[in-house]
Amino acid sequence: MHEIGITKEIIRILEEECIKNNIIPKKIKLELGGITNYKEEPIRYYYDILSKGHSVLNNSQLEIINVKGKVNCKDCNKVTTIEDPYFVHCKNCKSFNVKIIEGKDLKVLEIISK
Amino acid sequence: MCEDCGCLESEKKIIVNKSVTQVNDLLAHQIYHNLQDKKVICINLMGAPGSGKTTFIEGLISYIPTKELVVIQGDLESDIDKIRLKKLGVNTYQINTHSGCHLNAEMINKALLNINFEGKKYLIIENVGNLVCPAGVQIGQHMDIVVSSTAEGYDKPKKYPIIYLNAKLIIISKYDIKDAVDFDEEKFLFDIKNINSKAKIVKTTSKDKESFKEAAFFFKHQREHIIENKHSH
Repeated sequence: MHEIGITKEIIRILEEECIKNNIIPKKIKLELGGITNYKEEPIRYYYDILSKGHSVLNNSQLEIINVKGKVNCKDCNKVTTIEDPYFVHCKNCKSFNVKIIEGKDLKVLEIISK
Repeated sequence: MCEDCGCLESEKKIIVNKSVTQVNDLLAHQIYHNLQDKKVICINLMGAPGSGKTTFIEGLISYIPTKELVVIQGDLESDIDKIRLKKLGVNTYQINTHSGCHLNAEMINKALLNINFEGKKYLIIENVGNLVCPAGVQIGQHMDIVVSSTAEGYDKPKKYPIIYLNAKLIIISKYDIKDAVDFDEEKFLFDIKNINSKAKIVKTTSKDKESFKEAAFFFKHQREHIIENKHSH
């Protein structure tokens, strides 16, 4: 249920872009950051339901590129990757005093038309 | 066929590069500043279902005049909590998410259009009861607080660290029954310190109105700080 809101938002952006560029999408490239708290399978699940029969998005496919989360530690200054999105901390010194530099976004990257 | 990406040359490729999460965050940013300009502090009140969020608000009004307070209630269905607070004279707006597991900036923005902020100093947004999904979602709040009851056990911070991570205030509610539910306070405080050493911890008991005094004064002080720091965000 958690991903239904964000999938609706993806669809809203796609509708806007497709109408603006006058295209029917075949494939959509999404970037899914590892620290976003969203998972790939539910996004695909809700997208399939919401795009079925849609006047613009019907039969379009999602290509989801997963990007690992990266943080810059303010304590030890090291850049480390995040394995667990629920545990955003420095892998080097275990501090929570970090700045997220990668993986905190869910982005619509490209739309490839029919 | 194109050798670079494999597309058929009759295909068109549109570069969009739009962040889906940014839409919410930009709106939240606007709400943050809008309320700051109105000199209203916005508190995001989170906690598991039944942890005591609404009871916490009921306790606060012993020390915060109801004419200075407005509440936005978030639940999947019903207006039970809105009715509860209205009976005590609290101006309350209900959001029903139906299937949504957390509030978002768009919902708050719509609610704000229906609220008169004249004379108001405090906006408490009681988020949907949930220790997972509301964590980290920007809704325009100036601060996050978490209500964690003794009945839920000492291990919630370890199991659900994200929601405790950015909380400025953590309320240990139902403190009067801590022995009956074997609440290990020492373990709880130790785990909190590892996740969020800066959080203020306050213990409350619904039957002891004075136990809410510290939180009310904390909000008063935080409000002054937020209003003074209009340019930092």
